[in-house]
Amino acid sequence: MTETLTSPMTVRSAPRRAPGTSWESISEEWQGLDAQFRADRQEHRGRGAALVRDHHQLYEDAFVAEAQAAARMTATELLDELATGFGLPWTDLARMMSVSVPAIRKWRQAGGVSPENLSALARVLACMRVLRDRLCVADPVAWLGVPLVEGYTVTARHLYTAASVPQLLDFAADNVAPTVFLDRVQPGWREKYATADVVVMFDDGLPALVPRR
Amino acid sequence: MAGQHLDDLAPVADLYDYRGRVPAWLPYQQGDVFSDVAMPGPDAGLAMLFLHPCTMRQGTRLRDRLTVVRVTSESTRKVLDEPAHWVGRNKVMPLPDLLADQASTHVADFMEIATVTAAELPRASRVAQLSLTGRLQMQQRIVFHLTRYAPKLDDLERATESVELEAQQQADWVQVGCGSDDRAAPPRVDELEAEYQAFLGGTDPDSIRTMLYGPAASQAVRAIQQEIAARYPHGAA
Repeated sequence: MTETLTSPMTVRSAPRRAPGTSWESISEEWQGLDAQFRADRQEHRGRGAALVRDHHQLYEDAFVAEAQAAARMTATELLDELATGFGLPWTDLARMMSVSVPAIRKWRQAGGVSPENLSALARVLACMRVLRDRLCVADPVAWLGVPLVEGYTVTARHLYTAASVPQLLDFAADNVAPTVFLDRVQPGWREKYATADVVVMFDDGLPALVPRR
Repeated sequence: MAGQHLDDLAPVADLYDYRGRVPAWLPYQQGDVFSDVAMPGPDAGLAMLFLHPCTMRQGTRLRDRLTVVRVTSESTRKVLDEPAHWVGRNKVMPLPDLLADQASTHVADFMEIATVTAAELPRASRVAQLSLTGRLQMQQRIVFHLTRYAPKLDDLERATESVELEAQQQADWVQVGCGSDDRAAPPRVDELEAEYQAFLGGTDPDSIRTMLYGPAASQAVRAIQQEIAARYPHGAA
């Protein structure tokens, strides 16, 4: 008969454990301590999750309050504050609102903003205000444009949506690492945003694209 | 054989900022399409501005001679906006529904490049301006055509965002300065563009221009927008 690894012939008795490492030989005191640590850690996991949830809610409440205040402004006032108060370029605003730059220029010049777009505009301003006034991000526009992880093109402005604002604020407050934040809000970001190039200042004084070294 | 390809062509709605009547207050941009341009060949026709904004100007005014790409008809009956149609067509910039007639498609043919005088490209002859997305796709296609290298659109956007920002702010300045008159007279537009460029200043470390091209870009945008509001208080609204 051919011996195989699973045949009874191949089963060998386990080596004798060294004295002192069997469960029976471990003191009840140690076992109790271990059990207590397990229970504490489980409780803290639950408490930690509740803390994260409540903290997000704090950000969400601040964002909603600012959005409600901003919703009382006209489109011209909202756009003026975004431009003269924050320096937000129209291309960034257009991306954040999923509208075109000509549409924004038209709103600023002639109004005619739909209620949905007016509300979205108010939410963008609210997000900028919370970043600056509550989270002490000195220049929210610059912050939105900084690549989050070296070797990837993704920035916070790629990730802005009304639904993700509380998570964006949580990240802005330095409560989570960039990769953890990205994994939460955009799974697949590594494939989508990986790059072999980097933007540097070239010898003519202008930005240029070169291979990352 | 299937393989990697350039980014899918954006939908028509995302490819252009303006078609038909392009406001006179918009700065000249790479990818602008003009009608009745006399290029070497039999007939005058459509042509696309090839040069980047950095290189198309000499001081505040356009260079005397500019490089353009011939724009030809691809279909007179269909808007060919399906990305699959353009896979492997890497020597052209697709321009579906360029004329906003919902019935035709053009291409800018990178194999036909010529130099024309700036007088061939008056603002009144401009029939389309690409969006930022459209310009990035055009740049990716040009780079690939010339080098077989396909840069990411995000990377191109970062490398060109300062130039884009300067152009956007110029558009705001001139639009408000001319009272949003889409047919403002060219001398008035030229005057406002020169005024804007003078406000940006030179390349000294404290100039608005230097700020615009560095990490303090949003401060520069704030300063420009505040200046527009101060100079033309009745213009924006």
